[in-house]
Amino acid sequence: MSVYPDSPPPDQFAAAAAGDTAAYAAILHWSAERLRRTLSRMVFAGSALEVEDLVQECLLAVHAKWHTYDTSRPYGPWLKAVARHKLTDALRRRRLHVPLEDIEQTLAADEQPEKSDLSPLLATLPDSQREAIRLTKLEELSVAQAAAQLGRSEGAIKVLVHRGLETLRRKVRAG
Amino acid sequence: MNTDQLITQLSTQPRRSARAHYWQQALLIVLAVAVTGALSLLLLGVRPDIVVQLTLKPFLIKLAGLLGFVLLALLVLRKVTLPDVALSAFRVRVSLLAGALLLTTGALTAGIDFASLRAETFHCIIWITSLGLVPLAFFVVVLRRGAVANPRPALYALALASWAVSSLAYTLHCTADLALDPASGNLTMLFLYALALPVFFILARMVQPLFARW
Repeated sequence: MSVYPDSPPPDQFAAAAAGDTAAYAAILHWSAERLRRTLSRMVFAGSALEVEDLVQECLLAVHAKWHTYDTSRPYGPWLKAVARHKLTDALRRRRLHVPLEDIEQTLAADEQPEKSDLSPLLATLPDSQREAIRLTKLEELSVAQAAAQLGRSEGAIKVLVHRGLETLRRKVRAG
Repeated sequence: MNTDQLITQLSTQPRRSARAHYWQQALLIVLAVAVTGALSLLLLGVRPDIVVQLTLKPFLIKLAGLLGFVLLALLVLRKVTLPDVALSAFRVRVSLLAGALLLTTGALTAGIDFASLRAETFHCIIWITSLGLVPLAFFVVVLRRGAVANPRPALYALALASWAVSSLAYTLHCTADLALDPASGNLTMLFLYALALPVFFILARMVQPLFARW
């Protein structure tokens, strides 16, 4: 039974093991709170909604893998290990399914970008990033052409586009 | 659905018990060993001099050594399915490297006659690898049912455990040691069997990320 400080009260584990749903719910609430606090501190966690999504994903994993928790060991490290795994998965998935290309496509598909929903967001970017995105994604110039036009190196243009799209992605997701 | 609703829903849903999970894991491991052994006996048969060999010290040492490898590998395999058990991939790698160096040095010092063993070596690698697919499949299920949070040590454990079980099964058939000096034969045999290990690492590298997910 867990008697470590980084854990919910030990009697909750015993009660949960005996089938007490309230005790199990209390452990999950404790876990959710701990996960929320940790995730909110992380750089990649954008909006509160996104953090809550990740918390729920971790809670589902905690429930599915509950049988791998040995109650003689501290609960905190177990929770962290499960959460870390699910977060890595979630981030990897996000990179695959909500990639920067989504925004690129949205921008490219827009015939009148200045009037699109993304225009106000584009306006919030620093001049250098906005110009780099406008030239490479909206006017469809090559990186070399954009670099020549802006008087910068190709590497600098790539960095500016990447950072700009990252910022846009965060803003879009934050609503 | 908000988080509170999710928690309410989850708390009323059944959970798998740790005890049931433990016995399921044990059953899968026993099945892996039994099926591999049975398949080896069915496809290759037992070595003709098994009754005599079972009374001889070198063969018993070889059997006990391989059994020790199997138990150790299975222990590590079980450990890697627990998310909060820290197993450093670096340490595992260093141990493997040290083991490989020791084994190679020992076998070379003992004087392997590679020329006479060439055909046997090929036979060993092919059969150990083929038989190893059986425990590999079982152990992937073991990993899936657990919660592997550190994939790299899990990959090594998967490869080692599959190789160890397969080698143990194959050794009941293998007669390559007859041509070897009884004093250094086991070391040479282990060296020969270990030549199949890289194949297991490659197989585990291919299989684990695809199937041992949760």
